[in-house]
Amino acid sequence: MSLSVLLRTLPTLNAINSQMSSLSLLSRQPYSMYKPFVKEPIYNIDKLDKFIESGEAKKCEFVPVKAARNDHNVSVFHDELTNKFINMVMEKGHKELARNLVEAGYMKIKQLQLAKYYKATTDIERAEIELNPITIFHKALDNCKPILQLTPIKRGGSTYQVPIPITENRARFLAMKWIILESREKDRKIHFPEKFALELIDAYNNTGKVVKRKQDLHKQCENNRAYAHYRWG
Amino acid sequence: MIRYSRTYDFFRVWRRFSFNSTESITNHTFRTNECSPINHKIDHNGRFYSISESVKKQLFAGGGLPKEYQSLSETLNGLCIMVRKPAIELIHYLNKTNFDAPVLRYVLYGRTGVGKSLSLAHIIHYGSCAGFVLVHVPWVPKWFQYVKVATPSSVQSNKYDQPIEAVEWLKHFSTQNGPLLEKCELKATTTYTWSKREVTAEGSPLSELIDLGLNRAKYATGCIVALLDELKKAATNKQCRVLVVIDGFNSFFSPVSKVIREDKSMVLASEFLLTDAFLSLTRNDWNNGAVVVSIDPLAYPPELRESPLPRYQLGKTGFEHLDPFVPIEVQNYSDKEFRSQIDYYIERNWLQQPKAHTDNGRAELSFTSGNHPYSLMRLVAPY
Amino acid sequence: MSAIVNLRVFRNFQQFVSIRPISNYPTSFSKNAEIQKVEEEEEFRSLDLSPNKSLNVRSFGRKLYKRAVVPPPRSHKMPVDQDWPSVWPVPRTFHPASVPLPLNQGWVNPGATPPGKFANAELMKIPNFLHLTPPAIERQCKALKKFCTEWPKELNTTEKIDHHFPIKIITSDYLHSSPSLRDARARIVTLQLKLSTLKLDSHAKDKLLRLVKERYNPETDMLTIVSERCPLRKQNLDYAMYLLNVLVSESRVRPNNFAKQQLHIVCVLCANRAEFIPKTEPWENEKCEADMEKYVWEGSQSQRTLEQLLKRMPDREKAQDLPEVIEQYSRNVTHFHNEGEDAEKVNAYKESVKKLLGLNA
Repeated sequence: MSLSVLLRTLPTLNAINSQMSSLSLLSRQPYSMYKPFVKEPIYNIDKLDKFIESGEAKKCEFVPVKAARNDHNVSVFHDELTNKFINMVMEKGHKELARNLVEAGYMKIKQLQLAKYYKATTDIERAEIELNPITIFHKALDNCKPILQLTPIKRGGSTYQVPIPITENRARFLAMKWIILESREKDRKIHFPEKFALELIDAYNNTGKVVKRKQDLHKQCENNRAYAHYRWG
Repeated sequence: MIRYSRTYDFFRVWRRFSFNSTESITNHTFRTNECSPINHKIDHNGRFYSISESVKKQLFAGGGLPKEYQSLSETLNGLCIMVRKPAIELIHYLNKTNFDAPVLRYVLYGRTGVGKSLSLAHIIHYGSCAGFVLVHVPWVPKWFQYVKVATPSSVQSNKYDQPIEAVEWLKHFSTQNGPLLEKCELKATTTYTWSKREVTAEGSPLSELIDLGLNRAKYATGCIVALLDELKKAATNKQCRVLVVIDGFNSFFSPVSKVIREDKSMVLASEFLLTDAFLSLTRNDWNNGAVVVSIDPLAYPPELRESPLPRYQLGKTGFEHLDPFVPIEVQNYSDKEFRSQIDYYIERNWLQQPKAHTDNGRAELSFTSGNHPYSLMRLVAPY
Repeated sequence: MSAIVNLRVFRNFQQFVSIRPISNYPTSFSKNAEIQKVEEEEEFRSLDLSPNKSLNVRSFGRKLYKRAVVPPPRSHKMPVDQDWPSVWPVPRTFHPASVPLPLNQGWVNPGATPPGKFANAELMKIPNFLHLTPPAIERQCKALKKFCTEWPKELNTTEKIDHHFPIKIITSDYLHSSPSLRDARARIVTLQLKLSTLKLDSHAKDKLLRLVKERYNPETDMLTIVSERCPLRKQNLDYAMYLLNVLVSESRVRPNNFAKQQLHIVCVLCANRAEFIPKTEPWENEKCEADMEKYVWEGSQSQRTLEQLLKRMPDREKAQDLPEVIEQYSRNVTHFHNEGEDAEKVNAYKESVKKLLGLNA
C-alpha cells in the first residue's frame, strides 16, 4: 500500500495522469460523430436545475449539445454506474437480459440483507446493516478498484512487469471485470444473480475473491517496485 | 466517491432512526389492527392486515399464495394482505347470505396479476375464521398443464385419474380443515368399496376416507369424488358449512391440455374425474355454503387470452354451468391502495431508493407500473 | 353509354397550329391564296366531268398534273348562331369540314400536338354523339311529349315512390358503333328490394336470409337478385320476379308442430294473402341450440337452470317484481351471448343477478 500512496502523492505522476486523460479524450475525437466543442447532455433533472441556477446555463446558451442517448433517463432508479455495469455484463447485445440479471442480483442482495436485518435484535445492529443495493454496489466497486497495475516493458532484451499508476476509468473497468468474472465462475446450479449478490456483499465488506485479486495485484506491484524507474527513458 | 458514500451512509442511518420514531404515525394509515377478516368493512379498504405464521402454515402450506408473493412475504418477515374492494364486497355478501337458499356462485375476474389470487387468499382466511369447511383448489391448470401421471380411472372406466395431484390436494385439504373436521364429526353416508380388502364403511368418519386416499394413491381421486359428495350432503343436512374456493376455474373448460394419450390425442379437461367432481360441487343443487371461483387468462393456453371477461374466459358451457353467478371485477390499484402499497414497501425496507419515497418518485412508479399490482411488485423488486 | 368520345379541345388553339398540312384541305388558319380566291368568287361550283382538253396545255415534257380545286371547309361559312341539329340531324361518321370545332385527336410523342381534325382517322373511328346535343334532345322530347301520360302528382317524394313501388328493376342498355346493335349485357336484370317491405316474421326472415345468403346486405336491408341466365331481358325479368315469389313463399313455410300451434294466428295475420299456405319442413324440427344463429333465452339452458333455482329459493315467490327482474336478467344474458361482452355488460349482468338472488336488499 505504501508504494501506491507514494505514487499517488507524486505531483509529476498526477500531472501525467491528468494529461493522459485529456489525451485520451482527444484521441477519441476522430471517431466521434460530434465536433470536440459539442457538449455532453445533462439529463438528470437535479443536475440540470443546479446548472441553470448556478448561471452556467447562460454561458452555454449557444453551445451545441449532443443528443441524449437512449439509456439516459430520469428515472428514480437510474444509476450511471449500474448502467455501465449492465453494459459490461451484456453479451451479443442482449441488454434486456443483462439488465434483468443485474436487477435480479440487486433483489437478491436486498433479500440477503433484509434477512440479516430482521434477524438482528437491537436497533444499533440493524442500523449497521446496509440495505440499499445501489449503495452496496458503489462501495463494493470502490473496494475492488486497484490503484496500480503492471505493464510489460522491454529493457535490455528482457521484459519487466513494471508497476504504473492507473487511471480512474481503467480502475473502474478492472473492478467491474473482476466482479463479473468472479460471478460467472460458479456451479451450474447456481445462477449469475445469486453469485453476483454474494460477491457484491463480500466486496462491500472488503472481503471476498475480488478484493483478494486487487490485493494480489497490489502485492505484485510492491514486489516489482524496483522496476518502477523503467517507466521513464 | 468514498466521501460521497460516507455522507450518504450518515443520511441513511439518520433516516432509519427517524423513521422508527414516526412508525406509529404512519402505521395507522396503511395498516389495520383488525386481523379478523369477518369484520373487514369498507373502512379497511386499502389497508394491510397481517396473518399470523400459524394461520399461514395451516391455510397456505399447500399453495394458495402466488409464489413470488410467498417468497416476498418471507423476506419481509411476515405475511400481510391488503384488504381490497373485491374481498370486502365478497365478505359483505357472504356475511348476509341466506344459507337455506341454493349456494351462490361468485366469480372473480380481471387481468393477470391484478390480485385475484390474493383476494381469494383473503376469502380463505375469512372462511377459516367463519368456521367454513374449506374446499380450496390453489391453481386448477396445474392439474391439466403440468400433470405428472395420468392413469385410467379405477372408478369410472372412461375417465382419467391424476393420482399424484389428488394425493397432494387431499393433504392440502386435511391441513386446512383437520381440526374443524374432527369437531364436525362428519360420517360417510354410504359404503365405498375400493377393492376387495379396502372398504370405507358407512358411518366411518371422513378422516378415514382422507387417510385412505393419502395412503393409496390409486384411489386418491376416487376418494376426492367421494369426499366432495359427502361434504355436499353434509352441508345440505346442516352438519357443516362449506366454502368452495377455486383459482383458475376456467381451466376446467379449456379446449387444450398437455396430457397426451398413446395415440397422440389430447386428454381434455372434461375427461378427468376431478373435473367432474369439482364441477358437481360448483353446481347450485345444494345449500349451506358458498362458491367463490376466479377466472384468469393465464389458465388458458396463450392463444386464448384475448379478454379477461367472464363470458370469453368461461366459454358458453362454462358460462351456462355457473349462470346465474355474481361477477366481481378485481381492478388495478386505486390511488389510495397504491399509496398504502408503497408505504408498506417502505416500512418493510423493501423499497430502498430514497428518491422513490418522494412524491415525484411515487408518481413515476404509478406511471410506469400503470397501477398494476404485479408490475409494481416487479418494478420495485430490484431497488 | 358505352362509348365515350375522347376529344381534346384546345382553348387557345392558335398556339397549336400544325405546321405541315397533312391533306389537300388547307388548315383552317393559314388559308392560301388559292382558296381565298375561290371564296371570293362565291359561285356555284360545277363538277367538271370531262375537262376541256383545250384548256390543258400540252407540253413536250412531262404531263403536268393539275390538282382539282378543293373547296374550303363548310365550317368556315357557318354562322355562329346556326341551328346545329339541322346541320347534324342523325348519327353520322365524323366529318371535319362540317364540324366547326378545333379538334385534335390521336397519339403522338409526349409534348407534341395531336393531329388536327382533317383526315384524322382517329376521329372517324370513334362513335360520336353530335346528333344528341341538348337542344336536339329537347326538341325530340317536345315532339314525343304528346304521346306520354302525366306523372302522378301524389308521387312527389322518394319515400312515397319507395313505399308504393318497393321493387326496383335495374337494366342497362348499350350503344355500339359496331355492326351489331346487340350487347349480351343488356339482358341482365337486377331486382332490388328492401326486406322490411316484405313484412316477414322472424322465422320467415331467418329462412329467407338462409336462402338468399350473400344477396342480402344487412347494412342497407337491401335484397338484390341478379338474373342473367336467360337470353332475353324479358325472360330474365320474369325469372327474377318468379325467384322473389318462390323465396317469400318458401320462407313462410313453418315447422310441422309449430305450424299446427300457430296456424290460426298466422292465418289471421295473413288472411289477405290468399297464396299463403303453411307447409312443413322436416329438418327445422331438428334444429337445436348449437344451430341457432342467435342466442334466444326462451328455452335455453339458462332459463331451465333459473327455473330450477327459483323453485328451490325460499321466499322468492312472494317478491312482486320477480317477472321484471327475470326479464331484465334474460335480456342481459342474451346481450352477453349475442353482442359480445364488455365491462358495461358484465356490470349490467351483475346488477340483474344481484337483484335476482336478493343480494341488493
